[in-house]
Amino acid sequence: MTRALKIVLVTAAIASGCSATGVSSDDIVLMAPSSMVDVIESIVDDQPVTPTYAGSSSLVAQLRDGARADILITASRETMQVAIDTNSVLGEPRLLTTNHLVVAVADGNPGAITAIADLAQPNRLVGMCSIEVPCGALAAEALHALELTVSADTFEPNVRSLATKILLGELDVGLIYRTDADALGLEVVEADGLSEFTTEYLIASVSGRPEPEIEALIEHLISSAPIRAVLDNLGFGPP
Amino acid sequence: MSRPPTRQPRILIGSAAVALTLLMLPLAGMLQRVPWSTVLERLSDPAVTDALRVSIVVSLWAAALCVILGLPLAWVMARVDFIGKNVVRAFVMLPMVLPPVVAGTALLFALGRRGLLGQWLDRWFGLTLPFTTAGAVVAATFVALPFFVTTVESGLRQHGESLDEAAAACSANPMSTFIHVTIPSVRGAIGAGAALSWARALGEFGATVTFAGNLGGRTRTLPLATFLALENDPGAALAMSVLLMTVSLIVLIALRGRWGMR
Repeated sequence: MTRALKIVLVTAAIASGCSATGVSSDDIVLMAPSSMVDVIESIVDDQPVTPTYAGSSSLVAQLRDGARADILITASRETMQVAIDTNSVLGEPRLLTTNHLVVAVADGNPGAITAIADLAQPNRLVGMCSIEVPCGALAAEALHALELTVSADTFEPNVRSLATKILLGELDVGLIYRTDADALGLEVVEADGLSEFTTEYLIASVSGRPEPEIEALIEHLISSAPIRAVLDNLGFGPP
Repeated sequence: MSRPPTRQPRILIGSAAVALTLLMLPLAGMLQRVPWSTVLERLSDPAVTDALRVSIVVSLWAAALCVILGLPLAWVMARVDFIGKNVVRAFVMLPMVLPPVVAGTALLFALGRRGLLGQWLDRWFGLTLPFTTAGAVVAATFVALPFFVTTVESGLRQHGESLDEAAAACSANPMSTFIHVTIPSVRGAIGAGAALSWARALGEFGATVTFAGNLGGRTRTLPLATFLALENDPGAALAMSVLLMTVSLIVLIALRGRWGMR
């Protein structure tokens, strides 16, 4: 249960929108979507970085409302575009990595889900990400393309809260990113055609003061071999 | 010019003004951003009226449960002496200070489909609370109950036991004393506690989204709709915030500081 507890704590931190403790004023404030928690946590020990996690659109909204940050990572091109439209972004965003959707089921598969079409069956507890966040928008796009009508029981505000509810067995099934399923060790059902639905993670500088070390950190995140290895390990796709 | 009966230290009044500014400035900031000309139009949007309906249903049920469950507890806390009362009081107050998201998670572990009690509810009655309106009521009741209990407990303490004792001396039976003497003597506090717990339930967000999820027409209350609208429609979020704030202020002003010490 310690693992579940850790997840709960991280989820609680995400949901309450607070960043990690120990903020130093020199630290680079890095806003990352909740699906990137494990990647970012793997670098915080070596880098002067203070991460803050939330759903991508929450992060963009926080920036719009004047939150101080240096680097923004979004889990979709659309949310980065919103940040660009509200003049939050400096320079051209760069592609960091990709992710795709999977059908994740609760331990023991209580909903007897064997294919993505089973999501449309009655009497299954189905969770989705809220349409406002990238994983929800992508799931809606996928279900539309696969001509499936799913009546979900909940639209979670971010992918981690959805993944946690599947982990706790409160939901039978949900459409989440492969990386979140991997991170929580969730059982995944093979779903034809679903892996085509990918989302692109973009990274951009958003601080008012362009500093070499910020550019250097972005470059490091994109091209360093150890970080690539971490991304691969966690189930992220190639950029 | 009339002088106050005692000299008031100016520094205290100045500090109080700073505190009041801290409390009121966010509201002022919000009010000046509200798109007033379209507020009514935004509030009549079906998504908003759905959320309003869920909010009203959930908060009224929660307030009713607070009264039903809270009255005996408040009476025990005010009238019965027992070992470990301070610890019990801490548990009663805990939902007031706990981050609501933690409260929601704890509710999942307790009443979720695989929770401590929830697994038996599911197995025996096929009853699952998460992702239902009933679940949202449970979450709201959990966070609102302390407001009712503390208000009524303090009311009971102020009224003392003399009336109860007098009734007992007239050999009224204890339950009859409770119903016909004790309850009427604190009906003001009961009303204040009910209104306060209702207002708290109306504003509930964290425990609801964690325990009951978010589904339009079922569990998406006004605060949840406001939170999601903040991401892509700040104007609608502001309109809903004004509605919530207005209702809460009306309740609090109507209470005229009945809550707590008086």
